[in-house]
Amino acid sequence: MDTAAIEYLMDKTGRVVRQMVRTAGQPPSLASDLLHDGLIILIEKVCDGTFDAAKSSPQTYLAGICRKLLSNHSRLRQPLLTEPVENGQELPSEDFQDFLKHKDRLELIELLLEQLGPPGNDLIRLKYLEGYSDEEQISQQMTPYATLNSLKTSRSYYLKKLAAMAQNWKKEYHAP
Amino acid sequence: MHPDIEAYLNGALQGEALKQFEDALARDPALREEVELLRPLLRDLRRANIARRVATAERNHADKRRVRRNLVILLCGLLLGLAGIWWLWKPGQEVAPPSLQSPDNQLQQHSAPTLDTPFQAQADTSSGSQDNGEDKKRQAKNEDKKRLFAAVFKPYKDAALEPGDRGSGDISAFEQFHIFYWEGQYQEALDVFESLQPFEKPVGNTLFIKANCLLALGRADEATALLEKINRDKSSRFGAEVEWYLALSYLSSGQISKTRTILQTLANTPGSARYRDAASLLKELD
Repeated sequence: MDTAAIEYLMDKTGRVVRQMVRTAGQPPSLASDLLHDGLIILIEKVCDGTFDAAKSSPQTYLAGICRKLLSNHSRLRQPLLTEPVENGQELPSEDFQDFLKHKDRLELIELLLEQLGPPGNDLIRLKYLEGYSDEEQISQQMTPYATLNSLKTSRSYYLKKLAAMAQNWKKEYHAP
Repeated sequence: MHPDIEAYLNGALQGEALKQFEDALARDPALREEVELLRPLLRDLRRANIARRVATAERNHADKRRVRRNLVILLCGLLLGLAGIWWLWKPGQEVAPPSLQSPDNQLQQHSAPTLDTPFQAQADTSSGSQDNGEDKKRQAKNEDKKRLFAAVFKPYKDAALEPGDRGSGDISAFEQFHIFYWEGQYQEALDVFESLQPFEKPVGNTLFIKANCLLALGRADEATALLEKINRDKSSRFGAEVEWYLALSYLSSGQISKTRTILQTLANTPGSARYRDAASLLKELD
């Protein structure tokens, strides 16, 4: 999903989310936070193929996600995780809770990548944060590696190192 | 580290490669441990990637909204400005400010002013001022004549007109008329004149006194008619005095040429009663 599609969804759903925040008596600034988190959840669903466009439109599904996020924020005792979004398409409870549980880890990843340093952080950034394929990286000479195997092997090494750093951080700070 | 772990966790392994990796995963606990170590990291990295794209989209969206809002504000300002201009110079207004008039329009207005333009008003004002000037001159002349008349005119009196001592007996209207005249009660004299006997009224001497009363009261036209009649009929004992007072009545009523004619006649008649007075008045008139 490219940024133009995300902007379109924000434009179509933003007003609905602002309205539900206003109705819930929450501060208006909460709407943009809900929309941000809702978009991440929706895009994950689209990317892993669990979103069914035949059951509901993306903007309707996004509005449903934002409504659940708002309910959670407001600490309302609603059946959040089993509430159908629309047309029977439900947001799985484990995905929703997983997102909330690991939301803070996004900032941690950025921090750990900084600690990892070059060339490991560049290899990981190009693949997972910038979205370049291995072939693009080789053809455009974005890295010092000339073959796919050497690139993958090197990146696997640094991924394992980064995972170990995250595990150590978890042990040290008892983070989720 | 197994080279296919990353591809397996990213869903990139398919077919035989996927089957072989799953077999190895089932056999090798160390491989399973490595997979479980990397699974949350790759999930977080994918989510971080999505969060970056969403953040980029949010910035773009905010920029577009800002541009859209500025455009709306600009449009509103433009509309307000146009409304203000329309309100200041709406079509019903007669004359636009000179700064907004084209030179052609200004030329047209200058060359063909309408009745309501300042030019017409100026013309009216200038002609009015000329009229006012003439009126003022005329008024000044009239004032001079009135002053001259007032300086010269004295109701005629002689010893024969002075009322004698009548004792306590009844006073006739005729006598009362003369008494009022002598005492300067001209309106009362005129009132009594109306009660005179019919044969007493048309007498030239009586009419001469009445004419003096009228002149003293400023009723020059009536006095002129009476004096012209007396002068024409030669029906009084007052002779040149009638001509003198007729000249004065002309003077009072603004008939200067007639005044001059009579005065010149009197001035050219040495020894007449008003010889000197006529000459003096002529000088004043000149």
